[in-house]
Order: sequence, then structure tokens, then C-alpha cells
Amino acid sequence: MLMAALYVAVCRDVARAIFCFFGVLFALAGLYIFALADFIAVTQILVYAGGVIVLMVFALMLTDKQLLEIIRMEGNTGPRLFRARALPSVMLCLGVLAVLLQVVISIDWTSLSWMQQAIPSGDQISGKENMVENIGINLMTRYLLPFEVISVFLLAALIGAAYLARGRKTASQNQHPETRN
Amino acid sequence: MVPLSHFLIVSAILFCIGLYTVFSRKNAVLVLIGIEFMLNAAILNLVAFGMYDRIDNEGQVFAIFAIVLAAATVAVALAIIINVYSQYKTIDPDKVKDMKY
Repeated sequence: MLMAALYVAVCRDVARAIFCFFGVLFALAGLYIFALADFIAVTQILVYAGGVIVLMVFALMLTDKQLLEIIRMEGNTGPRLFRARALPSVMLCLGVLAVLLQVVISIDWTSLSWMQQAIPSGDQISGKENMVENIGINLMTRYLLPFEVISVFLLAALIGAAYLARGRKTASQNQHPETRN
Repeated sequence: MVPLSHFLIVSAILFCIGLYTVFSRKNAVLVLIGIEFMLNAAILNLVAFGMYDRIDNEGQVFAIFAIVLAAATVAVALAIIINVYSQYKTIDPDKVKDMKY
């Protein structure tokens, strides 16, 4: 998965990068299953593979006119990891990575107090129980307010996206009858 | 059961790859993919810590919310990218100079 993600970062062909992104998302769904969260894995595949990838491919086809020429021209230069102008970003990312890995390795995660309370009291997912039922009940009782807020937000975001995507064209269409008159 | 620190290491690496993608690419769609990588690293952390919360499912429920928010972000951002392309004929973020003309 990480190799595919790295290929997305360095690959020169945009369409190939998007399909590698697709592979990364599927691999992440597999990691969610390893983390004993099967419902999240199914949601990830549905939302990302179903929605986001289709949107990205559409946006790519609508915007990138040089794509076909790039595909025809390919073969002379492969992906290059280190370009001269990318050196500051490489250094910055390696610095952030060093800090994060230092934190992850230096802290003993199993000695956290809430985790030590959770393990003996049976609050740990063992992978045998039905988590979807529990998630559904929690979503409708304990987390009802964030659920409703996020549904309204999603509606607003989709209406806004549709408005943005068609805005200028309808303005020109509205101008045509006026000019005819 | 996979230990927690492995998930955290993987998500740290994924976050840094996303950061590099955002900084180094010259295509707005790929910058958006980098942002998605960083969001997914955060969601992976949520799910990994949610392994220790069987009763309340706090991590998993908020992971679902984060996935939905990421989808909404992608929809709006791609609409903006298409608008920018129709105005400037490019989607290189470095070449978009002014916001209104």
C-alpha cells in the first residue's frame, strides 16, 4: 500500500496516479479489517471507490487535455523521486516523518490509563461480536446530533458543488434569450 | 491481533507521503489526492484507537463521519477545479494568480 502511495506521489502520468490511489484506498480498507472495524472498511469501499474515484476520473477527463499526448510520449522518462525543485518538500516531509515516528516509537501505548481500564473490563473488540448492530444503535442514540448535523452538511455541500459546477454555463444560457429578444 | 503502534507507524508514513504530494505536484487533482492521503491517515488512527472501545464505538463512528466529510470535500473541490479550468485553461495551482477578473 505504501509503495502504491509513493508511486502516486512521484508518478508523472495523472491517470496512472489516480488508479494507484484507487489501490491505496482498497488497501486501507483491508487495514481497517485488520483493525477489526469491518463496517468502516465497507463504508470506505462504498464512499471512496464508488464516489470519489468516479468524481476524480471525471474531473481528470474534463480538465487534462494534455493527458493523451503524455500517454503517447511516455517511455522516455520514468518517474523520478528526487527533482531539484522538490528538495525542500522532501526535506520537510522527512522532518515531519521523523518527529511522528519518534513519538510513535517512544510512547508505550499499552500503558495509557484509559486503555488499561478498557482491556480488563472487556471493552476491547475481539473480532467475534457483531459490530454493525452496535454501531447502528450508537449512531441513532448516542451520536444522533453529529449524525444529523453531518447529513445536513452533506446536503449543503452537494448542492453547493452542483451549483459551482454548472454556474457559468447557465448564466450564458440565460443571456441568450435576452439577446434574441 | 495487530498491535497499535504498527497502525500508527503506517499512518505516519501515509501522512508524510500525502504531505509530499501536496507540496510537489503541479496538478490540482493530485494535490487533492494528497489531501485525501492525509485525511485517510487520520481516519486510520481513529479506527486503530477505536479497537479499544467496544461499548461506545467512538472511534469507528467518528471515522464514518470523517469519511463522509472527505467525500463532501472532494465533491466541492472538484467543482472548484473544473470552474478554475474553464476560466484559466490550466489547473496548475502556481499559475492561478488572481481570484476574480
